[in-house]
Amino acid sequence: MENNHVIDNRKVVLEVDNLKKHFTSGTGKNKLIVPAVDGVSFNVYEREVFGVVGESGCGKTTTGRTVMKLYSATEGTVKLNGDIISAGYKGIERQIEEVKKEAKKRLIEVDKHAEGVHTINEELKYNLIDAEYQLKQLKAEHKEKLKELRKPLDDYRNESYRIKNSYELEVAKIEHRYNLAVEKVKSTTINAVEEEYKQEVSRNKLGFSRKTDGLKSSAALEKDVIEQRLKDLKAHYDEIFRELEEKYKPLIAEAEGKISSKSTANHEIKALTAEKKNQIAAEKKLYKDSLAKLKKPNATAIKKTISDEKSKQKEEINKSKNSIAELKKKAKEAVSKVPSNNDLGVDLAELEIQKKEISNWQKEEINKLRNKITEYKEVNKSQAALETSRKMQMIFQDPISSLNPRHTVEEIIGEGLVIKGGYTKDQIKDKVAEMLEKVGLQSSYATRYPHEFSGGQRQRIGIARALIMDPDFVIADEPISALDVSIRAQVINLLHNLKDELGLTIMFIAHDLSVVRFFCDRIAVMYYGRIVEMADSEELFNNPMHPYTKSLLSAVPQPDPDYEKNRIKIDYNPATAHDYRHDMPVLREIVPGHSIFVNNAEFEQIKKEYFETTEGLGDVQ
Amino acid sequence: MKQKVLEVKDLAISFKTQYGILHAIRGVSFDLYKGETLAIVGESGSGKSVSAKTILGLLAGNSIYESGEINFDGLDLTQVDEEAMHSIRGSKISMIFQDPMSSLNPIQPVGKQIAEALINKQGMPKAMAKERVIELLTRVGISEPEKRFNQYPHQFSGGMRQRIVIAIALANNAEILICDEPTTALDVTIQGKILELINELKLQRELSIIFITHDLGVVANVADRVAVMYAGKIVEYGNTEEIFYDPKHPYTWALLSSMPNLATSKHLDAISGTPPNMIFPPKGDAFAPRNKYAMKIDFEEQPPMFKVTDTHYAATWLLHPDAPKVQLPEATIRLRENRGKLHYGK
Repeated sequence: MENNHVIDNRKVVLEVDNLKKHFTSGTGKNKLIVPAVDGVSFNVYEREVFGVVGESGCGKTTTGRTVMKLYSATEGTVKLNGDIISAGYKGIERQIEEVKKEAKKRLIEVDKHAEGVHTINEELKYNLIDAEYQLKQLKAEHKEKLKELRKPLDDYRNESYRIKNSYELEVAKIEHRYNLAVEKVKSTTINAVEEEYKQEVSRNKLGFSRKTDGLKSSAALEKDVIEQRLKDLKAHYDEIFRELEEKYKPLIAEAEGKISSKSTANHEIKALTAEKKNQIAAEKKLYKDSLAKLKKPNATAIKKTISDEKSKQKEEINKSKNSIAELKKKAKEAVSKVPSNNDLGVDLAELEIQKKEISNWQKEEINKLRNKITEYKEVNKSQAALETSRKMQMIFQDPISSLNPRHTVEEIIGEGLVIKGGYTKDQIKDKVAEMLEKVGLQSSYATRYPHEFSGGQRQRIGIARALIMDPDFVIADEPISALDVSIRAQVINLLHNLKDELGLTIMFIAHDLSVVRFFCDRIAVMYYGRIVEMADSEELFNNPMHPYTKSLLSAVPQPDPDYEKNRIKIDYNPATAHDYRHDMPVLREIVPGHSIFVNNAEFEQIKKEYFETTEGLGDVQ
Repeated sequence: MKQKVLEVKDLAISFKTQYGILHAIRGVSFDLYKGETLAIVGESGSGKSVSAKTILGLLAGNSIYESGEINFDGLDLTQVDEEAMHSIRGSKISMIFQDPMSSLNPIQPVGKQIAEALINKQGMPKAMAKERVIELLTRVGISEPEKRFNQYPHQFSGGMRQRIVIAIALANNAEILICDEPTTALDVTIQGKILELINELKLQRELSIIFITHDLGVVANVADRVAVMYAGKIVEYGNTEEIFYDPKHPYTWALLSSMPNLATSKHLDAISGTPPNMIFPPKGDAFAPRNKYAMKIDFEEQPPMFKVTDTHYAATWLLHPDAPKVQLPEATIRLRENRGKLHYGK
């Protein structure tokens, strides 16, 4: 664990605190809030590669983009090099509402004190709640009872439907089989060779007529030439027809002997039809029999009992409603019968002072929060935050759509410098050339357009664009996912070398666990907008503790057939894996540098398991 | 002796493009036996999808058939007409594509789409087809099939959609299933489940599967035999164990070492350069310019297939008796030494 203490002493480059990003869509009843990122906190230390992994939809890309200020945060702050660069204030607005609610509650408390009747009220209130609950219970019971009464009718209907369906299905099957059989019989009466001969002849006739039509309408040829050609054509086709006849006549005669006569076929078909009719009749009989066997319930009697039951129920409900109304009335009277304050001997002046104090407190709190909002709003727009965030750059996933096809490579890479200002054209040109060479491309490529490059080269351009701003911190959002296998290793090695050369800190977002393990120093695993586990790369892969991480790791395919054929997969189902009804989970450190998203019970459990399994493996405090 | 169901012999296909003739595959031969999975591995543009599409007669209009045979069921599939192909496609040979969303019709309930395969190919009556579809849906692991029958593709998750596509492919009891990167668009946990399903169906129905992918981890899971393709040719093929634990071709070495796995140290052996432009295929071994072990002859003459064992062949001059002995890359040695032990966690 020594390693972690060293990390703690290192400079924090990025500090993300309780970052939330909620997407909203629709209004009113259709309003939908998707908590894509829901309270994520982490630090990224200088010169480390921090990996964020998870499946699609877990919020890893949204985290990256919110940090990058491509999305505005709903809540939480992002600090780069100690300066706050982006903050969400939607959450503070919610806090203001809470303060207001709290103040109201306290004021009521004071008033109640003045009234001195809250004990009576309380009792009435409980009675009222009880009565309402009973009414609800009653309604549910009634519904059950009606269902019970109606059951024989429903059963009968369902059963008769089922019988009818199966009858229809059987008939369809019989028809299908019959059609197939008839097709087969019919095919024995047809002389296949003759059919073929007819087809050949008609095909040739069509060809002949098309060619003669074409010749007749020809405008380029002399009349006598056309006539001569028509004659030739006719002779040619006559020859063809003669040949066909010669070839097929004996074949047809030979086949003729083999086919069965039409009358036999008709006879067979008749037999088949009769059989089909018999089968269908049998099915029908079966259907009718089983339908007759089904006992029909006495509908009128049942309907009568139901209507009786309904009127009885109505009475009961009315009774219950009446009692509720009475209770409500009583409560109202109790309030109106409040004894005056003087009778109780409460100092009115003092109560006034208390009330004033509360409203003062509310004003103060709200002012504080409002100031924070204005401060955050200012921060989000401020020039200083903009200057600071220049030290943060991003590499995107798709090397095709992230480069403007109408700009040359020089324009693409140099755009950041142009926006920043203060560079001459020549300076930019020199810097672009230098950058291109750094990412392993030739400086002469600067005048080309993106479509002239392969996927790997384009990703290098994307990297150059990010690095030309001389950033401290780079967010790489799945930079290798869209690349070919053999190119991936090149780009990873390039990022690795550039990191060492330029002293970069990288936040690496990816879904490919084997790459993440290889490239990152520390890893956070995300699931549904939350970090569920965060640890050093080796520690996480050797000692996964959260059930989701375990399941994710067990699913990664390894290029090792012996292991793959005997793989044991761990399934993760959050509904059954956790019991969070009483105790909500938080991200907490289990050993230094290794945090998991668990509640108290799970924390103790995992801690115990961890120390049991690591006992004797080394010096672990 | 295993029964051969499909035989591809010396197949070559080119495409007419505006820059010239692109030689997509240049003499590919392989056999497929009953009840086995053959994985075809390679990077994009190596011709693995073109080989599969040729088998099903799904090539684009600008394709040129150069030579070769595809023997299936007594027919040469390169020569049969569209009508005959139609009776084979979907009923005897089926295909699953990479993106499950674009292979389903978004405005038709999924049940109808599966039933279509039965009604059109077998002339099954509707009522019967529905019963069979529900059976199929249950088979591919979709719960509440009666309810799901009438739902639309957008109501399913990615993994579920891929299950539906598999159900369509298997509706007519196909003998051969071609899977073109069926799990590339899915998450790892879902990928595992789909692979499990494919493996299970293979055993149950004695399916023969051609599995196209670039993920060697997936290959290790599903394949019985592996063919490695590069620049339109098969450079090495053999049993899965032979390819992973005793690879012979430098391209296979490079593929195995360019992907980080548990046995990788801190430096990745990247393959330098890019695949060749197949409009101008190189004269010698196509991999030579990117090959660390390339010899002079590699640039001049294409290597023939050398036999390693009865089941294992590789096209590299390194297997020639006169070739110098080379040091194997570290990654492949480590893979062999840690055989069966590569996995995460305890």
